[in-house]
Amino acid sequence: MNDQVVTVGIGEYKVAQSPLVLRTILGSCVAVILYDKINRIGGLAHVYLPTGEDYKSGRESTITSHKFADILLPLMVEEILKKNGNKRFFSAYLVGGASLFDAKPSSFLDIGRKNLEAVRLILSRMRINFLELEVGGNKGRKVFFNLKNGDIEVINLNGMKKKA
Amino acid sequence: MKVTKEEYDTLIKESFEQILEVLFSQKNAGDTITTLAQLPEDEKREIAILIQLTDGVEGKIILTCSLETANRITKALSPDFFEEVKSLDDQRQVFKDSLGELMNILAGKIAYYFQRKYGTTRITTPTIISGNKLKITVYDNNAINAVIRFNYGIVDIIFTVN
Amino acid sequence: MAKVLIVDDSKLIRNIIKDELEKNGHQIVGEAQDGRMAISMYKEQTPDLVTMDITMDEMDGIEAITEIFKLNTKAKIIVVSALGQDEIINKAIDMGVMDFIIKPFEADRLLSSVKKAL
Repeated sequence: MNDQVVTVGIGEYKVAQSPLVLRTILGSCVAVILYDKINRIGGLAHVYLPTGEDYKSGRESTITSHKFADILLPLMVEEILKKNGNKRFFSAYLVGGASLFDAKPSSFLDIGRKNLEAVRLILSRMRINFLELEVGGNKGRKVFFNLKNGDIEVINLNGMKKKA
Repeated sequence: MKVTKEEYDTLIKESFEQILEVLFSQKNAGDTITTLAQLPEDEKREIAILIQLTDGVEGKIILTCSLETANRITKALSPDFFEEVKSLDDQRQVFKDSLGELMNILAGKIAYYFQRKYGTTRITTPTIISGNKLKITVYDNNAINAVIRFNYGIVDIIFTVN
Repeated sequence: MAKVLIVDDSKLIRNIIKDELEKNGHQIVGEAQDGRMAISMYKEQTPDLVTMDITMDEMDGIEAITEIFKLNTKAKIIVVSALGQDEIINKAIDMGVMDFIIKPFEADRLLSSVKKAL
């Protein structure tokens, strides 16, 4: 059974209905997966940077705002709701936020951890309960999210996928 | 939280007993089940099966286990399926079918347990999640879990209420 | 000997029901994974009896039961479900199902229910 697979790029989100598989590759980025199991609609957001607040300077911002968690996530939720998704039936999952560089905690470079913190805060503010599937660590992941049934596959990018 | 840890452990253990006796045809299943305080450090989480509860009780139940345990449970329940499995994707479908049904039955028992207090609960079909190092952290305080060791391995059943 | 249609999204359960019923001389004329499939198979096969799960994607058992009764007011349906809550059992019985079996079930429970229904 081969469903269509669509890749979600850095700083993007995609909302889709069954049947479709969304896929993305993560390093320090965090994937936020939202799924309404009853209406079979959901989305995957590829969060690249935590919040826009951290990056404001005195000048006009030239940074694409979509990369920030606090812009991306509400947009994705809004679109799911517009397409008749129901918050009551949401399941939300986090994957990613690895520390790929030799960053000291609380260092500016520890984007993975900052992304996770930002996403947790934003989802809590939106009163969306979530599960963390595979977060942190120092390896990248590939994630597949199946809109037909909400199934998720997380593949560690270092080393072979385990065979049964 | 709508149930105490003690009540929950008992509910899960008794449900498992019945499931083992009937579905796995295991006599005196109760003797082979123990409840652990928590998941052992070296126990891997590689497969998770999730079912959502809505209306009466709003929340989720999630079973997590290692690939090895998933294999053993599934082989015991559906020995014939395994012969047909060629790819990892196929295998996940087989896990989803067997472990998913186990969870379906467990969810039914949890829904039944809560009906007097909270009314009729709807349950969804199961979702399967797989990964090398799943942690399944529930990011709120309304979660309890029961860790069951039985002859096929160890499973962790997390219950989170909205 | 009856023609039976088995409806359940779990292959495990379908196999369990199939094995038991075939061992006891019944003929399985179809296996459906969801309510929608159940309805089209019911039309095609006109089984003597249907075993019906409730929790399924696409279309759940309650809706499928409604549709099947529209096709045949005398349809014989036995619910086999993990949901054992009073409200759900009462609803199904009110709709006209012959029995409601709660999972996990013993073979005897299934067989005696089928025998009574036929």
